[in-house]
Amino acid sequence: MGWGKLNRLSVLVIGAALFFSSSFAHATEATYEQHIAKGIASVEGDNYSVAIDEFSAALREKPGDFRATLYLGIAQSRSGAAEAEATLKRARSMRPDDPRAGLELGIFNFNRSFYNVATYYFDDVKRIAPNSEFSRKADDYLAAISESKAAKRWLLRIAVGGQYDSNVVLNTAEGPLPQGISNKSDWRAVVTLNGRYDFVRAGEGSASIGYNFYQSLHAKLSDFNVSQHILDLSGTYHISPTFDLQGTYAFEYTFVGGDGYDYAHSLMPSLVVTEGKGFSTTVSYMYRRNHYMNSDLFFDNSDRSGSYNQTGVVQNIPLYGNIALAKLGYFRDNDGTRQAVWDYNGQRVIAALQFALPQRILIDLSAEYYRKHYKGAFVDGGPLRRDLVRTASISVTKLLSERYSITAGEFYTRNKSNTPEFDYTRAVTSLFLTARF
Amino acid sequence: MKIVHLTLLVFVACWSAGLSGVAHAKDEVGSLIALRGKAVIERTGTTTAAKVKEGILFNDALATREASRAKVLFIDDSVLSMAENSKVVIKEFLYSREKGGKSIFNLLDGKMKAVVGRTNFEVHTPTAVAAARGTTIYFEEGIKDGKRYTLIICGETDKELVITSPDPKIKDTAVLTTGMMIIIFEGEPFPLPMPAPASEIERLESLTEITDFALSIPGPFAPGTGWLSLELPYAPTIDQPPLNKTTPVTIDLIFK
Repeated sequence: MGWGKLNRLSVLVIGAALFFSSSFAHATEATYEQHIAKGIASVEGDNYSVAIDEFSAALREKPGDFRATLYLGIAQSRSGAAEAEATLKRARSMRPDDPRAGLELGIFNFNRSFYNVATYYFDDVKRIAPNSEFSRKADDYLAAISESKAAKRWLLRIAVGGQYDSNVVLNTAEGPLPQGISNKSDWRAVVTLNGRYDFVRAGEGSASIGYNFYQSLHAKLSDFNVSQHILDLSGTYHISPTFDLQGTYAFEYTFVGGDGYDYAHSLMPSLVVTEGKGFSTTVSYMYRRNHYMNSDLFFDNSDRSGSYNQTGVVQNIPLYGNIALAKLGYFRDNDGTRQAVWDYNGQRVIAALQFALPQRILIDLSAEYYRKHYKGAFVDGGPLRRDLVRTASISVTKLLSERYSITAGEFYTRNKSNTPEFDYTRAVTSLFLTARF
Repeated sequence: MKIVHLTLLVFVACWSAGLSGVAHAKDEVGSLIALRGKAVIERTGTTTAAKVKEGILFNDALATREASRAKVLFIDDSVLSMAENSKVVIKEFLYSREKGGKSIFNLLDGKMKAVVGRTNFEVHTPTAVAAARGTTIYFEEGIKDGKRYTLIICGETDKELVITSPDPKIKDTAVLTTGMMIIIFEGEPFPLPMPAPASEIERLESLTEITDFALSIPGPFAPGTGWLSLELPYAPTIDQPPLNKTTPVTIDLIFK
């Protein structure tokens, strides 16, 4: 090929490259603007995953662009994504005197309760842009941090109500009532008290002590009045924006009919994974050491003493823009007692849905399916006991004020067992008035 | 015949489905995605304050107030960024994803940056008509020395921006390419387009863009105050063993 032809070819190649690159540049600017606009619309519509895609596409059109980087960081922060921090820091490093990036870093850390870090960014925004909308927003957040630190460390909830229980004694459907028991259903008054005190509150975590009290008073079946006391120590540690470690130790003492029924020590560590946008997963383990006590009514109760273990996972799923919350859970457990007849392995599935209606009404639905395989037969020569427990409940709560609410509920259990003594049905109808302090 | 009727029915159904993107009078053609300051929407004789996420309808007029800016995203991916004291009317908007369409905006006053989407896009001012596809255009409409004018800058594009006059007496046409601008005064022939100074582009860019305020800033909320954190009355479950079911029998022995 002669030099002339080579030069013409080179010119053609270079010209084509310039043409296509300039076309690409033209498409880039308009395309960039469209991605930015669609990303903004998506953020304002709370559609953060789409917004992240759009701003990422805008960054591909214009790598290193401040606006696209800042908006991407904001969308990630709104969605709860951990990488928002790195993106916002990148935007802030591009324009250190731009207050918006610093404000968003403050908001990101505020939402994770890292108040010291959030305060640093908010103070910086006020320094960079005094008397601006950004500094006013920073002031709002700083005030919220002060309120949070000064917020009361205790809370108390008292509930008073009545219940009708169709099967207080857990009697079988066809079987006669036990001696001394006049009927299996009864009315009862119930009082519950739940208190908690946060004695440690820091950005990295918290620790609290709690006390729960329950007392039932039956109209006729006073031998089945239940008093229960639970004292617990709980703690939370923020490992990272995504992972939280929680742990609880609890001591529980229960009286039935005025006699000691059982006491138990429990340890419950769990790991909470925050996936963002309200989604979270809790992986938990529970160890419980039970000490059942004999009484005139339950003379072999102590045979059930032993160790109980449970592992499980629960997924929290926000629905409909966070006006509803669904939970799905799976658990495996086993109970080791003094008698094989009470030892069992179990599997449990739970589903729950909680949602808010207008007029300050809250609906709570839940269902549980629990299969228990016992290691012994209740009657010599009989089959190994198998229980299938199905539970469903619904409650409706009306908030009367910020302090008071009223709850009506229905709770149904069907314990289907191949051992007739344990086959029963139970329904509890409740009405409670609750006060929160 | 039945097959013909069925085919017609299917065709009409598909055509109707395909027209899902066509904007009719009552459909939204866009939405206000960002607002700094105040803006109003004039619709069927009433004026209401504009809010972010508010839908924009065919024939709406959007006007920004002093020290205010607005950004609108249309269903064909066109974007209009308006500066303060600007007013634009959505005069025509026909669009379908498959066939494209046509959009006409009347810029009555002020400054605006338009990113053209998938329709045949036109902006009409009192002194000029700009028609384009696939480009970014800056507009400034105002009065200088008692005369109404329109300044148009063609941003980056691989297509031409064609300018004509709404005045039937002025037959001039101007064609702008990337980086070219023209200032057209009312009643006067078109001047030759000239390269737009970078300072002019930067001025209009800074007057129309809403960088730091484009995304709303949420306020702080105290955790745990939402309804869904409510705990319902607690009730322990007592899984009691079966009670003693034997019935004692008293036997009276009478010895005679």
